[in-house]
Amino acid sequence: MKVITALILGFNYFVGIYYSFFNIIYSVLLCISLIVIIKYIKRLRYAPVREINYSPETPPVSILIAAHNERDVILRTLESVFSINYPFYDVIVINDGSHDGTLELLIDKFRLKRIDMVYRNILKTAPVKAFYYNPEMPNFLVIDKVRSGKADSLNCGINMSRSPYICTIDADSIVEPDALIRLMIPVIESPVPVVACGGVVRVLNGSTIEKGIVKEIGLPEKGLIIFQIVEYLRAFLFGRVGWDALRSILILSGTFSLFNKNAIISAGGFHTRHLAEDMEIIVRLHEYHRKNKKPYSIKFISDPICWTEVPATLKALARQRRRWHMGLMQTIIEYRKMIFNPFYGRIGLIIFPYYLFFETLGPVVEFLGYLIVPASYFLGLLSLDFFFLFLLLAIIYGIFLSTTGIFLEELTYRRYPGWDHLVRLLLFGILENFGYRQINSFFRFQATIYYLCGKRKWEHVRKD
Amino acid sequence: MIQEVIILIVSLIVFLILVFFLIAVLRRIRSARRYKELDRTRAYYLPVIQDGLEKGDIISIINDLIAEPVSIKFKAIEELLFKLKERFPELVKELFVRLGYVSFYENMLYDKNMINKATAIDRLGEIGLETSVDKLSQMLKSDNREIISVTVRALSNIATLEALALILDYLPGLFERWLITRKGIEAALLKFGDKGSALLIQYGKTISNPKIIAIILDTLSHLNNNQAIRLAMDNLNHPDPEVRAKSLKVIERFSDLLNGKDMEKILSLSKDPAWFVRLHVAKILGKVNGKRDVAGYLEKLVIDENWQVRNEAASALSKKAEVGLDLILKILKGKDRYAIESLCEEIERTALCRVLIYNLTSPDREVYKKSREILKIMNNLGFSTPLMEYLQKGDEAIAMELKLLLSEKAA
Repeated sequence: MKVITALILGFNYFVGIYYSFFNIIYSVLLCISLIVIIKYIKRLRYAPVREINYSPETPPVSILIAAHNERDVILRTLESVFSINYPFYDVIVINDGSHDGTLELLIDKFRLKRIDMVYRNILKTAPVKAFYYNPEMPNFLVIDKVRSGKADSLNCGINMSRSPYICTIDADSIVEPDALIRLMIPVIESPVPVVACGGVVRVLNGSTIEKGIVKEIGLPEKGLIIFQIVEYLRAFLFGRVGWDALRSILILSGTFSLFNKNAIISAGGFHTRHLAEDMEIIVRLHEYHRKNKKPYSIKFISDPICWTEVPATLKALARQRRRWHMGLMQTIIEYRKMIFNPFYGRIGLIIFPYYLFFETLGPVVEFLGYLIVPASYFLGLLSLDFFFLFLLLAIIYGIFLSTTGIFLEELTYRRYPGWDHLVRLLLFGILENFGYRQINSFFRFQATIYYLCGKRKWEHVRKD
Repeated sequence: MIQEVIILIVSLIVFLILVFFLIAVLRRIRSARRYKELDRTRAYYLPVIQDGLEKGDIISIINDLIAEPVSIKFKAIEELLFKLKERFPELVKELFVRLGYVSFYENMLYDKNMINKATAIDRLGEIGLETSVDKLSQMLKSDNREIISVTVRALSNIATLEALALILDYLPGLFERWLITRKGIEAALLKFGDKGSALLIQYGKTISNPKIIAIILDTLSHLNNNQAIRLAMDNLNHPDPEVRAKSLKVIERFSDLLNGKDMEKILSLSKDPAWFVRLHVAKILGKVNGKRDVAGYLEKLVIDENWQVRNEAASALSKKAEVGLDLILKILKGKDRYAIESLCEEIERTALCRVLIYNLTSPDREVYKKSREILKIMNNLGFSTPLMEYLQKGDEAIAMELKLLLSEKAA
């Protein structure tokens, strides 16, 4: 009994220290983001958006859209992609074995004709069945291939791309007209080669779309989606902005990112058996460039925006979060040699340990905390006052983090213009800490168990 | 003790949340008022300014437009002037001077805040007054990379020869010391347009830094001054491969002006050790007509070790009906799978495929035989879609021939 008591007591201390560290890191990130993002907004006054749009020196980009059963949304996405402001770009849709008529819809809508093209497997992929294009739209190509997943489809698009840069966009997303130009600014202006650059992903559900452009930004009725809006604001506006300021970006969203094609090919392309191919490729780019002593930079910027659908049901959310967490674990385990390895600089010494101890193991500690801390109280190891105070601190700090994301949005881009938007977002920022956060932790804890039991499969997410 | 600390932290966090909330609410209220006022001011002054500009009489409206710097009126009128600048460039520039915008931003150039300084530089560039060049030249002496980068852009917006000369003066330093990116410099130089090309050619003759020569040549390859071809020819044998490639890029633009001697020099680069130099040679060969027999060179480039070169050579070959069907057949019967497939793909993409199909009814038996053989090889390699398509809706005599050809594959 003494041993158990000692263990429980020890765990309580551990939770306290762990939680303090976690909050200190978040507070530091928050301060950095606040300074950086406000300065960045002011800098936008003289951003060379127009210059890049009209310059013949702007590098061409291939926009890659992997589509599996996206019949309902693909035309909307293409409409948005074809209305972007960018001087030289082509669009490659990779139909990844859809059986809902996605390909037929594209053929019909764009009057595509089959064309024989040489397919060179620079990055090895599943077989390609056919190519379709319309001579009147020379910047549009559809590749029909055997089903092999998103990563393999993107590799297939890379093989067919003739541009030095590729931009990955999800088939259910809407890109803002200037988003690609804004993503290209750091690539053009940075003296160090930018091999990857990511923008902000925002929640599309609830907004009105007209001709491929988000016409009116709104909030949906479903609380589950508003929770995700609050979560996305926090993750993108202060999480990633902060890490970018520390030059330690480890994740760029696959929904909307720009890559140097040669860098991707040199690093071996997207990993086809990974559950989070977008995180894995960033880690591999870090590893490849460090190993080969090549100068490089990976950037995140907060003004290019891509709107995407998020899961509207708890079941779909569970699938998505489990996949993300398993992908994170997979990457951390595969690249474990980078952890605390000074060869990888701040990636090995700061960001990787952070992702291991706080992002990967966080749900486990949190879940155990929910069991052991109340147990400590019942065993008389914790005073009721202290227990409630600690709980209060956890909740208030959680509310602080959630609402700060919303305040950052208010101070900077303010895309949610209505007073009702602000009130509802703040309300959900508070409510997030009473259920939604715990549910999310549970999904991530579940993912840890699945991963350890070997149930590592891609769970398809249906976004209604 | 710990409990007191926790209570203190909780109180602090609650206080911060309330402060943030208050700031957000106040900013919203302030912004709503500000934007409303801005919209109203813009709507009021747009017809006033437009009318004055259309009549060419700005003196009568100046008193009405004068505003305190940083006021809403000042901001609104500035926005309107920028909007009307394209239609009335000179009058708007004069208004910017008379209403104090130029002096306001020129004073701001000495602001300690880097963002304000950069904003002022950018605005002066947008206003585009020649007299600002002198003030902006001081900014090129800054120690801040961002300031220098914005200044180069501002000078390129003013786009006078004086501004160009200033950028060229600083170019080696900009490039080497301040690491202003190559794309950034090229984009800035291009904004001077054709009027700057003579100065660029002149400058290109005087410098020795290969990176800068490459930038100048690359810029000239987008401009219309055919004198650039001489600078390019002079640099064709430069030790730096990038300079050679950029020279060829200029030459490609003015390939009509090439003489036999020039072609000799260009063709000698088809064996250049740098693949991107050979790539540009292939591009030029695709463009020149009847200058000299280039078939032999293209034949070699089609089996080049680099795929980009092979691709370009195949594309060039498919555009050259005068090269003859013999060379195409020779390559298609060769062993280089990459060259064969590239050529088939290019034939299918270009008009040559149609020509080959129509040749199936040609009275010239040689043309008929060779065209048929090429199509047969293409069909065997899977490049049969255009044949199938023609079969469905094309001329009957040709369709008969195609049916026969397709059945041969089946056999």
